[in-house]
Amino acid sequence: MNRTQVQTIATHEIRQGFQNKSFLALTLLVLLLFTVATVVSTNAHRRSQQEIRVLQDTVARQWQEQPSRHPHRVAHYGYLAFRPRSPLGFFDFGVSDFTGNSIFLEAHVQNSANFSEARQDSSLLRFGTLTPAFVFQTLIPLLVIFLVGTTITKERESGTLPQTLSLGVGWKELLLGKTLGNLMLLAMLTGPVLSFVTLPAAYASGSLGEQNLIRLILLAGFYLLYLFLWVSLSVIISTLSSSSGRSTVVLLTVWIATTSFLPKALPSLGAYLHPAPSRPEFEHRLHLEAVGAGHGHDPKDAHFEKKKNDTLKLYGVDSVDELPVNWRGMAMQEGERASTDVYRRHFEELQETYKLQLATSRIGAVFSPYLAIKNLSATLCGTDLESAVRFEREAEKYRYDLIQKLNDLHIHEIDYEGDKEQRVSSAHWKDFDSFHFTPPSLASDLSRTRSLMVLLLAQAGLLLTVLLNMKGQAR
Amino acid sequence: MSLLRLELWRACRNTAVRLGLSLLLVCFILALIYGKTQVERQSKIISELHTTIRESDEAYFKTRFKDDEQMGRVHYYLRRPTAHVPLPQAALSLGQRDLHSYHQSAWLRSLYSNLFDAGFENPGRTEAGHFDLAFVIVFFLPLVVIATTFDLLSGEKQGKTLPLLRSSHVPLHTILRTRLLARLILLSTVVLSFVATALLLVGAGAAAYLPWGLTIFGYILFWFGLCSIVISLAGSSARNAGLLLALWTLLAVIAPTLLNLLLPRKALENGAALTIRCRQVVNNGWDIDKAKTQTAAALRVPLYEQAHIPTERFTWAWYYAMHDAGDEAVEKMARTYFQGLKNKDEQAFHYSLLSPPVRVQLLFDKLAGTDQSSHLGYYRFVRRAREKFQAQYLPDVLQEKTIKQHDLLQLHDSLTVLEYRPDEPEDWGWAVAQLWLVALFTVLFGLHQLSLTEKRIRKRES
Repeated sequence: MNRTQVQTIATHEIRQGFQNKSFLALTLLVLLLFTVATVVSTNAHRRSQQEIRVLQDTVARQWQEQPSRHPHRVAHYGYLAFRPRSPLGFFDFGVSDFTGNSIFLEAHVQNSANFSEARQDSSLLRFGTLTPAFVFQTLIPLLVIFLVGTTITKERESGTLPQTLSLGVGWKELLLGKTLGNLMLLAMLTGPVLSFVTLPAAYASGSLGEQNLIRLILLAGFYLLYLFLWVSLSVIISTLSSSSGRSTVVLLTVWIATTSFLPKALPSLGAYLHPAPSRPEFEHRLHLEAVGAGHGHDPKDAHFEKKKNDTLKLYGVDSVDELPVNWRGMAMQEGERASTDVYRRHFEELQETYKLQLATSRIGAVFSPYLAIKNLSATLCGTDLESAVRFEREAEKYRYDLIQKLNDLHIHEIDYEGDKEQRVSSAHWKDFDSFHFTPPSLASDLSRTRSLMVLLLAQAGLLLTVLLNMKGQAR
Repeated sequence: MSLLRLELWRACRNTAVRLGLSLLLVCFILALIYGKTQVERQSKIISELHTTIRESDEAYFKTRFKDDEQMGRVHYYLRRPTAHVPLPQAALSLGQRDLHSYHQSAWLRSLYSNLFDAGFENPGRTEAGHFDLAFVIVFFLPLVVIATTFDLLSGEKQGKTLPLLRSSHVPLHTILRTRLLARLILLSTVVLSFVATALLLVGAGAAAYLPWGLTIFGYILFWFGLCSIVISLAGSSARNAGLLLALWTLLAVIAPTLLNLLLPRKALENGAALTIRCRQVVNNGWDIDKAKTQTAAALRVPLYEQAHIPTERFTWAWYYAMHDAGDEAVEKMARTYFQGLKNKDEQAFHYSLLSPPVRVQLLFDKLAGTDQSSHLGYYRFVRRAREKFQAQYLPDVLQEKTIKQHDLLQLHDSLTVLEYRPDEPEDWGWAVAQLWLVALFTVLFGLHQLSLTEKRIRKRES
């Protein structure tokens, strides 16, 4: 490989790019869109963050300000958990507009996550949201196609290609030089603006902690790799095409197929192949099983017989009214445990079905780098499905602990005799921690996206190999 | 006429036309299968709703209820299922059916404690949208129009046959117009017959055909208009393809995201804040004077006058009065919330005229009864259903009646699903007319531009 040749060609490409007025105008347009996208999504993100904080604080305050109440009354008063926005969520909304924002947590039942942004927005949201990630994933490849898609065909059409080759430049050097030159040109043109816009936005969203910085660096690295994929693909198609028109059309077809057709068709195919239960079906199965597992409101339920006998034996008494603890509270605790076990099993089954539905998209990522970067980016920004499911799991765990703690109060602070007439002091409500969501750690996000990272690297490797081993026609 | 026949024959033999149409047809078939299965599945869930709830409840009643149970306690669990039944043509455009739950129950407890409950949907799937017929028409049909027309003139230039064409006694613009017309006839015949067949297959009513046909034909016209404008510029194939695809990207991909920025983005606060307030008021009932709660409820629902003012720790009448107090407290917020959603939806429809793909998608949803407003209609329906349920069953609670197991199961059998069917949309006329105005303007402008083509080529040559 002749490095000087590669360098000369790359420099030439960069120089030419800077002289290409229509390309510069288009770049300006994309950068403008990127800036608008960042400003708008940062604002929307920050507003959501604030609204959620206010709502969550309201719920926590109302909880603490409750008067003296019976603990089980409080268990039905319940709590509302709100899904906080991930710090990097401003960059890529992922599925966060489509997952519920709040869950009402109470005793005996698990409620659905309600009030997704999409449900409260206009139908226009279904066309996609203008976010920085959208510009990166969808629009920048178009810029690449426009700039690089005719890089060889144009030279062939103007007759400069045979000249270049006759100077002793090899195909390998030519194609690599063009790829690197254009990649550098794009990076030089867009990089400063992108980082100049993204970093303050990240700072404003309070996401410049160490872990988030690593996420940002990874994002930058993989978006650069994504850019490389489009640049090298454009060079390859341009080399193989007989005319500029054909090359552009082929590349645009690839763009449409990978960024529009597959992302829409594959999840639909997944849903077709693996139908998930509807809420009524889910609740039906759950009820039938839970009914057979004992009900907390019925201290005489036969399912609690063993627990009752064990407790009586432990305290050396013959009947529940002689117990120093409140058997009704214990039954509540047992019932909650049993129904929660059933629920959690069904919930995880449902999540498995959802995962299966989306497996088609994961497989599709082999053919569509867009799908790979889309999933990778959403995960690194903390807006993927897993993060939303984690919120539901954490909210459920919080619910369970909250209710069981209230049941503890029921057991120890409320007498069996005249149970319902009693209340516990309002001071107890201050002993409860408010809901706090811990987003998935960087390590777990990385392990989940490892296959996507490897896939993108493999795609880049494949294209590079093709690039270095192909020869086009001079005329 | 013979020229048109000739061009029709040539278009039929054109590879791009054949390939484009075949791909489109394959997508159409797949999309229809998908849409149809989704709607059939939803219909099945709705048809089984009563049995599903009946089975769960029966199991519960049998193990947990006394043989002579208080109606107040029974009604804590008893609910009447309601469902938003899809129109047959929903299979063509699934719209917002995956965002809003199409099944809610009416009960004596607070309306707002379950009105907003979400149905189960995979957010990853919802985010991607549906691969339905509407999607294929809105997004892929224009691409087929572009692929079959972009090189009508430039192809001749590249094939060096342009001089021959220009030397013919028929003016160049007439040839181009006839070619475009031939493709328009071919493409719209295929698309419209497919959609008509699809409507027939899903069992749509006779009234559905005209609005669907007019919308789709208007949309095809619009894209043919755009293509003729670009062709008339007499650029190269690459330039034409690039320009047209840029227009497609702008109108179908970028425009909707920009249009959405024009709309106010505030709704979350109202919805969740409403739930918090309602819950707060309902639960405060436990800590305030019971008589006050029940008297206040009687002002709103006079039925409560039938119940005695409670002096004991608990009565079911007072319990449901607390729930009514919660609803009453957030009534105004709920009105603002729904009004906000309605306004936003109307504004979106209004702005959609700026991008025909968006307008057509929203029109499809409207025609299929899967748009936002049909869901808002469903919320109103659930609300009325609850009012009726309350009028029918609250007296039993207030009169402290009891019910035997056997009668309870019989009562349950009568609680069949109340079905909400959105009306066949009638207000599509002006919305379609607006689309047609845009399409006709584009077409007329395109036809006019085509007559300038010859001049443009000559100018370039000189």
